[in-house]
Amino acid sequence: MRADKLGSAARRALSEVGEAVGPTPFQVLIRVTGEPGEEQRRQIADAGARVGFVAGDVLTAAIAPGDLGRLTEVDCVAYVELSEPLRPEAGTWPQQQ
Amino acid sequence: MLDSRLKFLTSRAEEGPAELVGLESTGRFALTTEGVKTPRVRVLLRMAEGHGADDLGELSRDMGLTVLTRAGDVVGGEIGIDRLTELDELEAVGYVEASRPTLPELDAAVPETKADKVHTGPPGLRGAGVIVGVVDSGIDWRHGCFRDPTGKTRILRIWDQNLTPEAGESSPAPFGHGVEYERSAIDSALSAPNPMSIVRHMDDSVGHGTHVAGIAAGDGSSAGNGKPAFTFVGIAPEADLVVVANRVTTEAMGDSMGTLEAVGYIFKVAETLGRPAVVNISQGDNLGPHDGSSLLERGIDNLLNAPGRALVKSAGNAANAGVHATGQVTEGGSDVVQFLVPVGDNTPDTLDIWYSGADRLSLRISTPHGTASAEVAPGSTIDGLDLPGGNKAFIDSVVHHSQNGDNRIYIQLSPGSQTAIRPGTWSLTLIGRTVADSGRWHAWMERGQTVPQFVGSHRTDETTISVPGTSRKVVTAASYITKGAGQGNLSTFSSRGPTRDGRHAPTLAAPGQAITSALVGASGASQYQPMSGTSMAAPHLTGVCALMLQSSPTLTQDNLVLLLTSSARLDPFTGGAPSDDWGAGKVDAAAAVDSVT
Repeated sequence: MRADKLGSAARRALSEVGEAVGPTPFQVLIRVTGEPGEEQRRQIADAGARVGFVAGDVLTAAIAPGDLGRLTEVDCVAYVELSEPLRPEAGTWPQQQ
Repeated sequence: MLDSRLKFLTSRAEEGPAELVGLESTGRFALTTEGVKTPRVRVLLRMAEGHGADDLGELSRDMGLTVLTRAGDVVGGEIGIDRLTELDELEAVGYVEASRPTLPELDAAVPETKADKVHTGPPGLRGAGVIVGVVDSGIDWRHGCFRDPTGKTRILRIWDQNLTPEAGESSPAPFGHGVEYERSAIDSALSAPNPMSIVRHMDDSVGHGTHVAGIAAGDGSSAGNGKPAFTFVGIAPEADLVVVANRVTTEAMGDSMGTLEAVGYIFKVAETLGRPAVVNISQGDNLGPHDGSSLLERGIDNLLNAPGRALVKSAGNAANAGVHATGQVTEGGSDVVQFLVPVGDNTPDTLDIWYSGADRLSLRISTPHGTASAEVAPGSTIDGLDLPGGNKAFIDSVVHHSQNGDNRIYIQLSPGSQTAIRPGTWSLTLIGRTVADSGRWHAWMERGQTVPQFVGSHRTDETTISVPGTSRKVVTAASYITKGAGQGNLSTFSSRGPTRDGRHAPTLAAPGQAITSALVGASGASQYQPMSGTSMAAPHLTGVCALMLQSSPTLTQDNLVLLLTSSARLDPFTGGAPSDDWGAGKVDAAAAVDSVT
């Protein structure tokens, strides 16, 4: 495990999952060193990540918590962060009649 | 200080009750004269600096103010006319104005942006040929505003990330999840007796996505809300739509991974069809480095690398919300930042602190009336720190963060053995072990339904643009008021820049308060609804980008930013530009399109 490549929320989530059997895969964003070629993508897949989409040097993927450690050890993987929730930016405002 | 309208009402009250009854009957004054001992008036009140919730309680008790709503330092309420002068003299009250009837309408916002001039031309531009992408809660694809004059849909694709494919349905490649509906399926559904059996996607009951889509690209063809057809016309009413429905929960609308995939999907569809596209994102997150290095921001910037691609993001509604604090620590010194945990806060609270990679800060946490925790050194991770009173903390103090080389302290408080996080004032003490740079730190609080707010001298509205709005490339939309009280002013909730790395933000401002647009589940005369927020400002700019892309389909994101900012309007409200509240000023669609050559 290269913990320095793992975002804080991912570390936290990993500690919460603990030794649970068959936990839900984590949705993650991965930054790689340069745009990934075939070899890099194979290494990432071999580490257990199912890559969904590639946006330059940023990839989306699903990965079992138990495989996160192996993913951080892949040379081309620079950083892995958990997918974070977003929230709508509309609110209410007094509507006078 | 009382506004002129309240002074007028006060003077008329002296003429006797009949005078006020007459004024109430005009519907132009927010008066109540029937069934009350003393005539009452609805007001908006700005609390004086340094005054807040405690003073509000006194106002209710002592002045008979009925508080109806509160947004940061602005309070909406009702009070007896005979108490207005007394209210005005209180130290806790900064300004009081009469609540005025508002006419929250997209038909007012369109001329305000001067998009109507672009529509009429010459040459008339209404977004034809351009794709407006909406990443949001979804869309009510049945609404008349999203159809062409023949009744066919203008929605080219819907990708619902919430759904699992059933028979005859499929997920879009290469994403491999959710369900994709093409235009032909939507058209089939529109003419089917049971439309939802063909297209199972529907916006949620709030209808945030439908509203946003209506502002950017609704054609206003549905008569409704007492107005004829083509009253509530969007900014780019002939653009086609590609909509991605994020995963919606009670706490969130999508996540960073789903959003990045959504943006990639929209550009992929546009590329396949050979069309330019502009994507709207009206959701965000308070956590992150706020310097453009979050992976969502970096990924979006990577996707904006080709001509004919643009993206607009709402600035956020975090001003006056207590989500950000900042300060400076000296070497050997310390700085204490406080935050107030509300009663009933039973979900984990996350605080995110970022500071220069050249400095080293350690941290102590103090609970309300409790003792300080042990010092957490930079570079250490503590899982399950026991706090007095039974709560727990996870603290991850990272040096030379892989994202940007800066340092981060990530704190997650959880109830632990208790049912909730202890209410009251908590403290974080930051201690300067080594300060080789400025010692400057920034802290943000995660959003949620019941979350803490920073209090005290470190709390500031600056640097509250939400992620991914601090990206290096996106257009970030601030909100201003175009109707009713405060017309012309920046919305008090509109998040402020700069970014943590010192870039000016937001990009520019658009109407975002009391905007009427398409209603989810519209029926009969009820076709539209008002909403407020930078969520509503962003689709105005998205629509303007669509008009510009119609004029020149190969414009890049950088081109669009330059043209939008150089053509923005300045007035006495905006002051000089660029600023970290208005950005470059108010959007001027006509000038922006004219500047496209």
